[in-house]
Amino acid sequence: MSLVATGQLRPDAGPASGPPPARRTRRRLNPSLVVGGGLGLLLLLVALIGPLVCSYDPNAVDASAALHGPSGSHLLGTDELGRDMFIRLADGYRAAFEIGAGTVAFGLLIGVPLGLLAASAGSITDNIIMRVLDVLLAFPALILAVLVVTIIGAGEGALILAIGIAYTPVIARVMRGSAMATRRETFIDAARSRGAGTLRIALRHTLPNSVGPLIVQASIFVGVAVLLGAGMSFVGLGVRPPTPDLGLMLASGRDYMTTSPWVVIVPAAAIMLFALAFTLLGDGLQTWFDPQRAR
Amino acid sequence: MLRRLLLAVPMLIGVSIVVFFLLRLVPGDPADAVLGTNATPALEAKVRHDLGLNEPIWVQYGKWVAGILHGNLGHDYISSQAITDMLRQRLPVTIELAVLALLIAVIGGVTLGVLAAVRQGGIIDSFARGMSVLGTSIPDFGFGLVLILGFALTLQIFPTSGYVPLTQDFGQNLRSLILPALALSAGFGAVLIRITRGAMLDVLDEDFIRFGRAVGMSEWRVITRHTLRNASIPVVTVIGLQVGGVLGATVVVEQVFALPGIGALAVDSVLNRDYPVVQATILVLAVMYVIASLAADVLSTVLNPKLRKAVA
Amino acid sequence: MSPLLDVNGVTISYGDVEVVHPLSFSVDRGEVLGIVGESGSGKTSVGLGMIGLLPRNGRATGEVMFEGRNLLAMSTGELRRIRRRSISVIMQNPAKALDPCYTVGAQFVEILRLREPMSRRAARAEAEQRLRQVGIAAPAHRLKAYPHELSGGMAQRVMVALCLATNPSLLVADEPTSALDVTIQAQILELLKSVIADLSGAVAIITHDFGIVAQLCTKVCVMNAGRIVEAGPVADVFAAPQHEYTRHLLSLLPGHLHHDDQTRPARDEAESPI
Repeated sequence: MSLVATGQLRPDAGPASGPPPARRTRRRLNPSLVVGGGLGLLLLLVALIGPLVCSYDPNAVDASAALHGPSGSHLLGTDELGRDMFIRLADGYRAAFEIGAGTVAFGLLIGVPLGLLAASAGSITDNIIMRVLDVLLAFPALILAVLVVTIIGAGEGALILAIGIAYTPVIARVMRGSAMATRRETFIDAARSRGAGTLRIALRHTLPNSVGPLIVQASIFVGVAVLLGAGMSFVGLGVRPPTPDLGLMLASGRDYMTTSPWVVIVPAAAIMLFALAFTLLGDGLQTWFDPQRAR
Repeated sequence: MLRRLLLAVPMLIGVSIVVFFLLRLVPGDPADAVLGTNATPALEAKVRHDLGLNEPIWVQYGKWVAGILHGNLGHDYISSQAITDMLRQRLPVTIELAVLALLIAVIGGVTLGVLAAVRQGGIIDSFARGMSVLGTSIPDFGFGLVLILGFALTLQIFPTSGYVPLTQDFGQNLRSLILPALALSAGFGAVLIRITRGAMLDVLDEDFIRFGRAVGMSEWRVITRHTLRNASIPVVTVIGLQVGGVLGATVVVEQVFALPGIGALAVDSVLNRDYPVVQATILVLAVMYVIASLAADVLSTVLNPKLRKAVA
Repeated sequence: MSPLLDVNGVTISYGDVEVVHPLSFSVDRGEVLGIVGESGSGKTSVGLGMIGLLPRNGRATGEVMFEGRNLLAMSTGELRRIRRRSISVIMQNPAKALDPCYTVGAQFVEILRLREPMSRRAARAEAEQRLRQVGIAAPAHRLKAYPHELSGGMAQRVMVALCLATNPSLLVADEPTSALDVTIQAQILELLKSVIADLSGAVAIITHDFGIVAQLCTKVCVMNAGRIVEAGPVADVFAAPQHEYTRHLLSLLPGHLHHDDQTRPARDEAESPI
């Protein structure tokens, strides 16, 4: 699962990496790509290393330490049960990466073949697939996710499935649009004239040429999925307590925000940073793959 | 125009099928959900009969749709209240909230997008692009809580939660909705900044803009009468698509501000396993979205002379 | 007396790249100047840059004296007044030079009312008459049309009519026929010929086509890579081209017999005329 997420963070997107390969003279590192990629990498590090360097147990209740402000011993303070906010934030980020990566993986796994099929097969298949997707797109994404959660119940896995289903039609559309565009390219005609079959053309030629738009879309969706997921957890339709989750942290903190504002501000800012990283990354990747469009 | 309206019909049928049949996939017997722990075989049989659960599923679907067309969405499991009545109370809240949020987002987003494009590369442009990225990233419920913290709890300008009906007191009604609408508008306004800016820049590159300048039009006229007019076509289309996001987000934002709208009802009914209400709320939200995108579609067609005649 | 338009040491750059190096030329009333060159030679940049119509990242320096005043040193307000009254530009692609959201009539009325205050009704009447002048048979009908409903030739006729409506003392035409079908090109060329004959002002035609220069112009500047390589009366340049690049361009004219292999183009992406 995390493979997909780290796949977004291309090695040359990080701030520490060298200049891009010389043969890509037109593709240049841009500020969005560097900042977004760097921030995403940093958050991934917090999620992975945070629990290792922080000695607190994310679920250890300590009433005597409840609602302590940020200090040397608790970097980001403690929540209403005296749990360390930093370690819960790190765990929340881990959940966020799982949700983001899982959602995108699901969307790509179902959406890409669907889009390819719609673009490559005849117009009847295309029509059927697209009309069904249209109906799914007629639901606001969050509403569709709520519908799925109603059927399969709450929880992290359910949340991934719910948001994944809500976004599959979008991925399929991007794939289809991109495949339709490349279909008119001469190299596709050339392949066809060499006698390559529909499936072969789809997999060997159309798919690789759609990688750019798909990666851009995937990056944006990681951020969107986590925003949606946090919202659903917040209202009780997502991740269940006591699992550390950024949306849940906000929900439980809201009763204490007058006296201890950090219990709300920390998770809210955390979600925002996560979404910011992937929004910027998506922007940056867009510019990377399509430098002419960017301005 | 008629063709487009007719195209919405299969869409609505599709939506109703998805809502009806997907909710039948819920594990367990609806009768159990009604009866809870009081279930006895005899009672169960009676409830099944009362709910029409013994009939073929297509018949049940047909009856459900026929009921909707007659304004009857059934009763909820818990209090046996007519769902139509519940919706009648809650729909105005959600519609008002969504409209207010759209209004804030459109006014703010379009203005910033236009200014950013006109002064591309300037301070306003940087500010607008920053706002756009920030607005896309900010979680609406988190933003809502921060707004409550700042404006309701600390400054005490607005109420923290609750809803005053429009018919009761207009001023108080607006006061009760302004923070939730702001929270709801952030993400949507951010998209509009970006789309408006892009559309304006595209149009500003067009030959007819250069020609307008060549014949001595003032910059104001070039921007308002020609650039904005042409850019409005893609912007309106995007507004229609974004209504879905706004409606979806009401689910979360109504919860934050304890507003008695459809979104909050949807959440409550899912948590209470009150399936007829889940069904009804999800259907209503989806139908609202279909209608909004249809309206945007029609409007952007009317705005575009190249499509207008084909439609009329 | 100094000429109507006197271009003096004008350079044009986009960002840090200077695409037109200091150059000078002039056109007086009654003269028709052809600025000839291949795409990328800087001819359009000069033609539009001298009247302040560069894209946003473009910059023109130097001196463009028009009716005794420097266009490049003017405030935007003054420049706007001059554009309304004295200068007109026929755009390269007529289909794209009209706003797709308004009818031809609405745009005609708008532009006429910029020139001088007049009622919509009067403007509409003048628009009809102007369209008739450029050979449009059912002007009232065309005024109700949207730009996308016009054929390319019809759109260019509308464009010409719009440009004449201000009785300009300087008419600039940027590749007035190249976006059109070959059959329509000849018609528009005929139209331009008669229009120019009636015009008391100066004309500058930007083109890659020596054939157009031969038919319309009295004098010519040949541009290559941002410089004027040859200039003079059309008859002289045709009779005895001095620069090998000019000879190359002339050799591309249909019916031209001197195929000289040594006159290779300076740039190899030369467009073929017509």
